[in-house]
Amino acid sequence: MFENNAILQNSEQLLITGCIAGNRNFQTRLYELYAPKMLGVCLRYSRNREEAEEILHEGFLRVFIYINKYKGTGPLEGWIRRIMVNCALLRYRNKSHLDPVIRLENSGYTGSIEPDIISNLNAKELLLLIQSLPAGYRIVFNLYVFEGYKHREIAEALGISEGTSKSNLSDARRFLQKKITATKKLVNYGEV
Amino acid sequence: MNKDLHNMDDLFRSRLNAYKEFPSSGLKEGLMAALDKKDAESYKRRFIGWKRMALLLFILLTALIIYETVFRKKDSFFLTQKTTDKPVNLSSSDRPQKSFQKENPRNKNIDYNTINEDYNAPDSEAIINKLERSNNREAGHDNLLTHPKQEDITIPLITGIYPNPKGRNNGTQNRSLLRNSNPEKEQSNSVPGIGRKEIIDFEKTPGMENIANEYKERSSLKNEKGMPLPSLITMAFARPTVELPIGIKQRRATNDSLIKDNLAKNIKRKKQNHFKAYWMLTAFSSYEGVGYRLDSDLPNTIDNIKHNEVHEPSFSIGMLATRQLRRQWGLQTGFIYSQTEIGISPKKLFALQDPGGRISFKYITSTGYAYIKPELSAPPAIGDSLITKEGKHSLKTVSVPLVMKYLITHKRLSFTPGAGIEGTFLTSAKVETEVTSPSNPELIFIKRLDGAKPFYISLVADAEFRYHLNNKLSLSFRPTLKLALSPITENNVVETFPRSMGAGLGLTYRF
Repeated sequence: MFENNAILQNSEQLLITGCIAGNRNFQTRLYELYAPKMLGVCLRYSRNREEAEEILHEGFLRVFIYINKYKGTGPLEGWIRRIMVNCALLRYRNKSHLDPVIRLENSGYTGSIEPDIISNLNAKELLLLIQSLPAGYRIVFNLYVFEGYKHREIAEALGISEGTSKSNLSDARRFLQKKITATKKLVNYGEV
Repeated sequence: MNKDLHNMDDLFRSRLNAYKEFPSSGLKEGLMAALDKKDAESYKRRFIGWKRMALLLFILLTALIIYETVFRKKDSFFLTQKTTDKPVNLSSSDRPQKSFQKENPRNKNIDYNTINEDYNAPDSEAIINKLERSNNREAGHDNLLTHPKQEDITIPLITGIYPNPKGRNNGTQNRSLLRNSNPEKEQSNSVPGIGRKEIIDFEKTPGMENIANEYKERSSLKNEKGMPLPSLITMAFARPTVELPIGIKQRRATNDSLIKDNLAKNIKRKKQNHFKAYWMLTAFSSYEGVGYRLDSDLPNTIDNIKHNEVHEPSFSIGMLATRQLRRQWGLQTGFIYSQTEIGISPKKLFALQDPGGRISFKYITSTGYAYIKPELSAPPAIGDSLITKEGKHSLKTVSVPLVMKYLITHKRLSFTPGAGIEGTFLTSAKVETEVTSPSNPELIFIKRLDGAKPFYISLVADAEFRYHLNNKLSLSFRPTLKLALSPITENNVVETFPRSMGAGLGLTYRF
């Protein structure tokens, strides 16, 4: 096990060295290694696949340009993931004014969902649910749930207040609940 | 409800955290194309320093040439005195004394209005001879003059003379000169002294103030003490730096000897150091063996290109200007026009989509690529292939070198090695080939290659062997070596760094 880790580290180091040298073969290998995972990340932050691929393209471009600044203190995947998230945030900051904001205060939904409902949904369906969130809610939800950011950090990253961050997260959750319940009803209706 | 919501977070996290999806294949190509573009931009930035340095050197060279030829000032306090037939050249810093020099009857043959900025090194030997002749004349030994043709030279020097042995009235007259600013009175005075105007000029002239002040003091004191009348004779060359001795007879002798010593030192130093910058113009033609270094991530591409292309000798003609700044060091620049021919073996081209969206065949060379679309019976589809016959690729360039030269001479021969940089402008890149189609063979002319850079920088090392036919003309043999520092291509499958080694013959004219 230990030997496997050492080999992996060596191969990763080799990959990084090749990418720093600008070797296309190494860059292609790095891209093929991490692109599927990173596309999964980008899909959560975007409305659709096209937007996610744009973020992925921009993110990998940055990865190859700034890979010489990777110090190796953490895993490479984490570093790349952070770049992807930053690219998504940058995109959100630049285009946030174009997204409509849906207020859910008056939606009146207060019900609860059962865990098995989510477990019945596959990952793609869950992803579609997240993508259906308004941009602001989606970003806050992603940062809080998947990246483990605190509200203070989210507020700093997005330039909003902590209160807004909390409110957006709450709204995002209720939005998702509503969507999931609606999905459940549809499923039940189909079964009947 | 909150508990449910947090459960929902965990469920989302567990299901989506490791979610993978494969991106579309076009994304990778797009990414690699973007990286190529970034690389090309970084290459441009990489050599921008060199370009700036070349530009700076060029500006400095231009400034140096302008300074040397137009604004350079000669030594200020020396006169050039050649023969009596030629006017004495006086530097601009001597101009305050001009009026006096005009009025001085001893300098009647000296034309001070003729100010020649380009006069040669001061003829200090002549000054010494004049000084000796002056002494000899006063001692009644005019026949001992060694250079009778040379003119009298005057220096600012306080001396003691008896202007009129019969009385001291002249002393009063002389003293009155200091108070009298009337030029007519000054001219009518029989004492070979100096007028107030000239004293004022000396007062204003850097380095002459002490002489003027001392003259004033002695002129005012001499009668009371029965001293001989102080007089000021002027000599328009280097400022006297000697301390004037107290004794009158000794003073003169000491001054003379000190001045002689100084002048002798000047002569020696000038003989050692004097060098006048000059120009050399060289017209030459040369043949060069041309090659290149190819760089690519795809070794097969390098092999293919090297295998397919054969360089023929390149022909160059040029005009080079060399400014010899020091006895050994010179700077060379100019224009060199070169034409390079490259033979290309028959090759197989593949159809693909060009940037304009059309399907055409890509013709790749070491210096760039072009999309060709021959008139075939059916329009090509992506992946179709086409075979071309042998092609001829010609490159025309204009280069501007900037080379530091070191001159070593031996009798009629000189050897001048040099090193520097050269900026090369690609003026034309053409390819001529023929498509082998049994039904319709077609000649293809490619007038412009994409992926070829219009400018690149090379390192130059050369050496000139010259045989001097006379003072002005010399024949030169000039081997050169050039290595490109920046590639001649951008966004091509290979990066091409040209190099050449050649030899040329030329004719050099010195002026």
